[in-house]
Amino acid sequence: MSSASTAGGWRATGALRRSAVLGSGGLAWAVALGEPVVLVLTVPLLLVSLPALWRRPATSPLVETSLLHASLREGEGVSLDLTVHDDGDVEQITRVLTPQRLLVGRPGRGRAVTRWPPPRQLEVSPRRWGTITVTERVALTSAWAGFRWGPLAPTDRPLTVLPAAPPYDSRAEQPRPKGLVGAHRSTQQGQGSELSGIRPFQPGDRLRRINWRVSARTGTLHTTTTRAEQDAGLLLVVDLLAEHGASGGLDGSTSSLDLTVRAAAALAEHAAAQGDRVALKPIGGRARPVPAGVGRRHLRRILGTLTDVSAGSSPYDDLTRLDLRVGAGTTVILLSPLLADAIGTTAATLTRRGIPTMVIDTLPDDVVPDLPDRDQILVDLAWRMRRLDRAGVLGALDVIGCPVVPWRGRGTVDDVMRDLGRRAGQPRVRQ
Amino acid sequence: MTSNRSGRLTSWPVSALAVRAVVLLAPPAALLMAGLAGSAPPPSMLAVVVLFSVGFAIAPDSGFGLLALVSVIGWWSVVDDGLHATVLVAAVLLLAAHVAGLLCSYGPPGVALDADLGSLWIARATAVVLGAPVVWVVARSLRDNGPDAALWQAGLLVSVLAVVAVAATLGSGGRSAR
Repeated sequence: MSSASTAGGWRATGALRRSAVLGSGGLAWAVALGEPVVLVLTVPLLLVSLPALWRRPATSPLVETSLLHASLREGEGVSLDLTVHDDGDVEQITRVLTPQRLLVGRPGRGRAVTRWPPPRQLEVSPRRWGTITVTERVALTSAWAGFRWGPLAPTDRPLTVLPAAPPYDSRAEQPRPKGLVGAHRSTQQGQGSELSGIRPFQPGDRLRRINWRVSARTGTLHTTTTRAEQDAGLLLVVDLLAEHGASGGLDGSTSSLDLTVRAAAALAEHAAAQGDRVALKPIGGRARPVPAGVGRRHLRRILGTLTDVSAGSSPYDDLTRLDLRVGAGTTVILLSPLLADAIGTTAATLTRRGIPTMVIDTLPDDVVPDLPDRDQILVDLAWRMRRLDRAGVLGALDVIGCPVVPWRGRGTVDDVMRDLGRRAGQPRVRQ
Repeated sequence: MTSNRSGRLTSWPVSALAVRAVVLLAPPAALLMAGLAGSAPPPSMLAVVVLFSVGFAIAPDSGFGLLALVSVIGWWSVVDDGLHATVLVAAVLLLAAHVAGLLCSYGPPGVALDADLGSLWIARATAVVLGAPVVWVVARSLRDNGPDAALWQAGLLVSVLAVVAVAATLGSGGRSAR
C-alpha cells in the first residue's frame, strides 16, 4: 500500500530571500555610500546565500510513502516508509504527521526534521480500534536551505485497527457441545479419545475397542468406551445501542463500547482457536451480523465487523422482537452495559428456553453522565434512577439463573461456563 | 512550513526553545553592541528591533527577520566608529539570528532540532562568519591609509570577488561531499 506525490516545484525559502536581499543589498549599500561597516555585517549572509543560489536544484523529486501493514492491533506500531525518487538535490526532509486523537507518532510525536536520508522512518501507533486515515505532510529542502519542495501531502492511507484481544485462555468446557468433530468433550459416548468406562462386550462393538487386559482378568470380553468430541457454537450478542463513558484509548479510560468490542474479540479468538463455530449479532449501531462459521478467515471477518462498529440506535431497531435464531449446541454470551430493558429481557428469555446464556457486564465502574449544559441535579437524579433500574434487571436475571459477570479478562467466563455445563447435564422442566 | 502553531512552550524540547531564543535575542543584542562602539541606540529603536525580533521568532519564514536585521544594520551604518571591534560581535549575532531562523523554518514549532542538521549548520556558520573579520581588517587598513574612496572601493571589490570565490568553493564542496 503506497502512494506517490509531487509538488509544484522548488521555491525559494524565506531564509534564502533574507540572506540574498541583505547580502546583495548590503554590498550595494557599502559600495555606493562608502559604508564598509555594512559590508562587515552582511558579508556572512552573502556567503550563506551564494552557495544556495549556486546549487539551485533542477530535479523533480517524487515522494512515495507506504504503510508496512494495512491492518494491525490497537497498541501495535507500523512504519510509515518514505522514499524519494530523483533526490539529487535534497539535503533535508521534514515530515509532519497530521495529529489525530488516539494516534501516537514516533519519533517526536510524528514530526521529524532531519538531514536526507533520514536515519529512521516515522512510526504510528493507534491507541483505539477502528478505521483511521493516516495523513502526513512532507517538505524537502535543497542545499544550504535555498529552495523548498512542498509541503506536499501524499495520498491518505487508511489503516484498519483491530481491537486488542486481551490475554484470554478459558479452560472451561462449552456447556452443550453438539456437532460432528471438535475439541470439546461431549456428555454422550462416541468415537473419541477421552475414557468413559469399561463395559462387557456387546454385539456391534468394534474389535479394536476390546480391552484385552480386563478381558483376560475377568474371563469375559470387555470393551473400552470413550466420550465423543464435538464442536460447539458461540453466539456473541453485542449491545451497540449507546456508548457509556469516554474512551481514552488503550492506555486511558475505557468506555462501555471499548469493553464490549475488546471482550467480544477475545471471546471470538478463543472460540476460533478451539475450532468452535462463532457468530456475531450486533444490536443497534451500524454493523451487520456475522453468521456462524469457523476458521481464521471467519475470525478476521468478525474482527473486521467489530472494528467498524459504532454506537447508536434508530427507530428501526425493534428491540421488543429480537430474533437471535439460536441453534442447538450454542452458547449465547451477551455483552452489554445492561441499560436497555430489551437486553435483560432477551437474556431472560434465552435462559428460560434452556439455552446456555450468560451476560458480560460492560458498564465501566466509574462512568458518570457527561452533560455539562444540563441541570446537574436532574442529571444525577436521572442517573441514579437508571442505575436502580439496572440493579433491578441484574437482580431479576440472578433469580432466573442467568449469570452476569463483569469483564475481567483472562478467566472471566470460566466459573460461569462450568456452572452452565453442570446445569446442562441435569434434567430440567420446561416452564 | 510554519503552520500549526499550537502547543505550549512548556512541551517544547530544549533545542527548539534554544533556537527560538537565539532568533529572539540576537538582533537586539547586535543592536546593543553599538553602545560599546559609542552610539547606544535610543529605547524606541530598541523597541522596534525587539518587536521585529518577536515577529521573527514567531514566524521565521516571514519578512520580520529581514526587517529586524535591516534595522540593526541601518543603526550600525550611522554609528560614529562603525569599524569598532564590536561590529564583529554584531556580525556574528546577526548571522546567528539568521541561521537560527533558518533552522526554525525547517519544520513546525516545537520540533526538536536534529543534532546532525545542527552540527552541519554550525560548521557552515563558522566557515562563512570568517568573511566578516577579513572584510573588517581590509576596511580598517584602508581607512588608516587615508580617505581615498577609489582605493577602498577597489579593496571592497577585491573582497567581493574573494567572497564569491569562497561561496562557489563552499557550494561545490558541499555537493561533492554528499
